[in-house]
Amino acid sequence: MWLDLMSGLIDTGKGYLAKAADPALPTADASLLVTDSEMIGNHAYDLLQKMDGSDAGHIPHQIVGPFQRWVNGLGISNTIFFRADHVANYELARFDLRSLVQNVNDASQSLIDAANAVEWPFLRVTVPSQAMGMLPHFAIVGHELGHAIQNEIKVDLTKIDSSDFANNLVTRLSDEKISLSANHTIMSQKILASWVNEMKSDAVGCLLAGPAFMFALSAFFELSGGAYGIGPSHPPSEMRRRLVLDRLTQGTPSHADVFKQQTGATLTADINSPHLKSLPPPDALYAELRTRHGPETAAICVALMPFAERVAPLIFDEAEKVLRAVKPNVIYDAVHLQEDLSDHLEPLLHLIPPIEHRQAGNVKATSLAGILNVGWAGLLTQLDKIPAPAGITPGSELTVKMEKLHELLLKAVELSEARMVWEEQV
Amino acid sequence: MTVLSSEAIRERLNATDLSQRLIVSPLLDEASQAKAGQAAIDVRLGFDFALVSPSQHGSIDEFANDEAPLSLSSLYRREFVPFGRNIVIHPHQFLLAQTLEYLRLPTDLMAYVVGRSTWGRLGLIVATAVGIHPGFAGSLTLELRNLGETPLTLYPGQTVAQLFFHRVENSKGEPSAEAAALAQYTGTVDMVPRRLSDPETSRKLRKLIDG
Repeated sequence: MWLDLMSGLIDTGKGYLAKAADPALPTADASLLVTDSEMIGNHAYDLLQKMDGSDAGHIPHQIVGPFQRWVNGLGISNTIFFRADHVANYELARFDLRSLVQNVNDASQSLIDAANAVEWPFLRVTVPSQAMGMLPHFAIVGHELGHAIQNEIKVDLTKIDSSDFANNLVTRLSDEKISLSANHTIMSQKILASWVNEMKSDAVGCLLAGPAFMFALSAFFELSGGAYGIGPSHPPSEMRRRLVLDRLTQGTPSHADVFKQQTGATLTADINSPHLKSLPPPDALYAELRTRHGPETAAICVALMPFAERVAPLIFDEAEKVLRAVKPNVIYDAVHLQEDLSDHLEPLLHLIPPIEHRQAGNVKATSLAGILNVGWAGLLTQLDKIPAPAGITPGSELTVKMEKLHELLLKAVELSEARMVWEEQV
Repeated sequence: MTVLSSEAIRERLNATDLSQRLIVSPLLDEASQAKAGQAAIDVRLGFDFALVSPSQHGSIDEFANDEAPLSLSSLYRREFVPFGRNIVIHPHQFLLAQTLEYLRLPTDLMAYVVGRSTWGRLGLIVATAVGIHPGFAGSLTLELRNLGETPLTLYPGQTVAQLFFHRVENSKGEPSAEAAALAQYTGTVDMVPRRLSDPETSRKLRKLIDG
């Protein structure tokens, strides 16, 4: 559809050029049409650049169908595409070209049709190219899709006691000889809103992919560098990781119980991010943030942390309610984890990809979340047991095994999706 | 070597013991792909294809480059064809394809891949390297060649070949202990070969060529 929009713009530009070629047209008018055509062409080129990285050479084509199932499962009706790029962060971008199309004079029919075929805003999910090395990292896409439905997750923050936030903020500001003002309230609300949206999206990612989401998120935090992650747009990484773990330890059995039972490893916050920097005491954190963001933003961020911790359980509960109401099957609960790990983890060590469950003659495809969780469990707890081919260079065994695991998981994603698509043809 | 019947194949597919389990996955329609009363499994055309462009290479010469052996992957152009789309194989054209199914043989089984006769009668040859050793794990590569005079349109999901399974036995008709001990699980999902000769053969041939 994105290419259809581009084609529509090019057709519109061609229409201008055709008119400009009319010898009866005054030169000034013809010149204007040529200029407008050039502008339209530039728009089309701009659209082409925005889809850079969406071809099969950049993003594994096998993953797109399963991602689309997550999109559908979350009730997201917007037109969407996925791409990989050499960027630091995952990103959900929204594009709305309706006003452009409406304001273009003599829009081609192909442009009008293309615009009408899109559910606006057009969404684009970007995954950093570094994630391509290992399929399980794609679990973070659940977080980005969470941003697409964040407004549907409504949390009443007035129920939460915020007096300590106000007191801490006033104290910090007064130490800096700054008086609390209405502007600080606006700043606080904006920062809180951003943090809440991040936590909503974490909750959605956790619900979609269970422990795989925590592993991918924490690995991403660790790979992102030495900072604490805290700022006006995001709550601290260490806190986010812990909040997701808290959710995974709830229920009987919990995801953590199942993970321990099936792998022998305890699900801890730092299992996949042992080098993530721990948050320093509030005063030291404030001093560090102050140099980067200034005293007011730093004071708000530090004061907000205890409040955000209290808000988090409400956010996770509400996100679960929303998902259960839309499509409960999209939630990856501990029962699913149990089934996937017991059916697929040991076979994976025999190079059998987690394509499908086979029990008493009945066969069903493994979900994307299942494949990601089996992949992480294999990667974190069983990698030494995966056979390596003979004749590999000494010292490269670990790399070869990781590549093998990635290949097997990608094959599982492709073939489980093939089964699902086949069964949908009734 | 005993040939496995469909019944025996189904038992192996459902074996709880991983050392005995045969994996041919996914079997999208098991009843029709492993028909009762037969002795084979039908396998389908997968989504990945690789073509060699004849016009780009004078001859494929492993030792043409003085510096390094030929990288075979550079000879191929890959095509991904999803369900519902197709690829045309023209008369006398050669291309590589994969089975849709992932295969993993236990150490006491080997298999032969054979083209389905229906396709053969249309001129399509499906495989030239037909033997699959015990312990193989991966997607099967099919070498397709259209020997007919008419282009053939191929769709992923079409049943294109059959697998026949044999028990690997010693001279007394018992399961081969050697095969069980030495078979290596080498999962491979890439159809494009990496090299023509093993490093030692390559080294010696190079010395002979250089005189």
